[in-house]
Amino acid sequence: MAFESKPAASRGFLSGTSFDLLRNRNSVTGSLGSQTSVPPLGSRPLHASSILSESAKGITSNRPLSPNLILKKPQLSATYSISHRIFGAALGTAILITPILMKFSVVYDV
Amino acid sequence: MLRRRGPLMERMKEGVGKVVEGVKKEKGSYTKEFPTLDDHPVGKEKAKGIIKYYEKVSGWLNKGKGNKVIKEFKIFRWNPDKPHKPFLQSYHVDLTSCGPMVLDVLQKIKAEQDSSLAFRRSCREGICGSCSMNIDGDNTVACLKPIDANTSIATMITPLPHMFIIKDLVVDLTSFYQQYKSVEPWLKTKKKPENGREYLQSPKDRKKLDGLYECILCACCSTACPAYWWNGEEFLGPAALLHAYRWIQDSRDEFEEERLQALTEDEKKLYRCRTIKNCTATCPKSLDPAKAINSMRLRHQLGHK
Repeated sequence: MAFESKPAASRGFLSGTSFDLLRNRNSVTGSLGSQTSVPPLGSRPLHASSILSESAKGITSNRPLSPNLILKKPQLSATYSISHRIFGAALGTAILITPILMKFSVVYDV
Repeated sequence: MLRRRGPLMERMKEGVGKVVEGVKKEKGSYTKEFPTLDDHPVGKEKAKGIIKYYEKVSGWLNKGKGNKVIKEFKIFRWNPDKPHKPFLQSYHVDLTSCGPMVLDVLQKIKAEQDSSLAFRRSCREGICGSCSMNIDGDNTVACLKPIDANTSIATMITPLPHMFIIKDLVVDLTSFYQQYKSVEPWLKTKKKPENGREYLQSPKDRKKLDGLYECILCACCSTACPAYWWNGEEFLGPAALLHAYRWIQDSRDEFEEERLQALTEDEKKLYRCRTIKNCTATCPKSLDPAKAINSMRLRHQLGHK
């Protein structure tokens, strides 16, 4: 880069940061190619809308999920909720199956 | 590898003890010491935890200067640069030279033992919601969680459940923030303000927002919700729905019906909630997202204000 050939004093503190890309925009010698990825001064891409960082790109496909069901401490309300569902399903099955069993039962001989 | 702490019986005893304590509604010295936390039961419990912890620590310090109390912390590790299976790494920390919170432990480990440990933190006082993680099976913000002083049991720290991991304790919250964005969390009006400057609100109307506006978006509730685990794409999750209700409740907002309709136009955004109420149980700010969701359903079904 033409920029690097300048003496350190004229480069200042900000050399090596994204600021010198911004400064290059105004200078004639600045490289045009490197400007595309830099947001305009004073604006910052929203986390939610920005694409993933370069370092994270390759591994997004095989990112692991954090542990969930085994790890979470069961709460009282959650236990009620799941047991309600389990007993409901069991009761429903029992109610549906009993007449069918009776129908085919040899014992009762309906 | 990731086994829960302690045998089942002990955990049940702990649960029953909590219920009994809640029924008794003890009005001891703790209640007198924290009158400002009267509306914040979770905060009160944590304050109690810290007092107990400090009593223990002062006991240790009285024993002598060179006395060290070592506790094991098992921390979830995964590095994207060297992909392997995630594992739990043990760190041994001296509690006598460490702050009272789990976040202090993490800072100490990062400073003294392993600088490669990655976690988010910012305000260290429960305002920013950055340091939310799963500690001993409960989602909380690490900066408000006192250390368990029992040194015979290791404390396990893992990232928020059922989220994609970026590194160690840092999880990908992109879709969580997108869902928050999708409820349009800003004031929308049809008319200009009457006095030409600002929209006014009576103290009574302002009171309706208490218990809703305090949410810090730490994602503890959404990641504690099994419905959100299995339907994370369609179901908005308790945090986003709490914020949706906050804007529906706001007297200045004039798009309540439209907001409600947007949430209920398919049966997944709002109605995937199965009233499991893990969100309410885990919220570090003692808010009640389950109640907000139920109020929205009621309002949708009955069509009243």
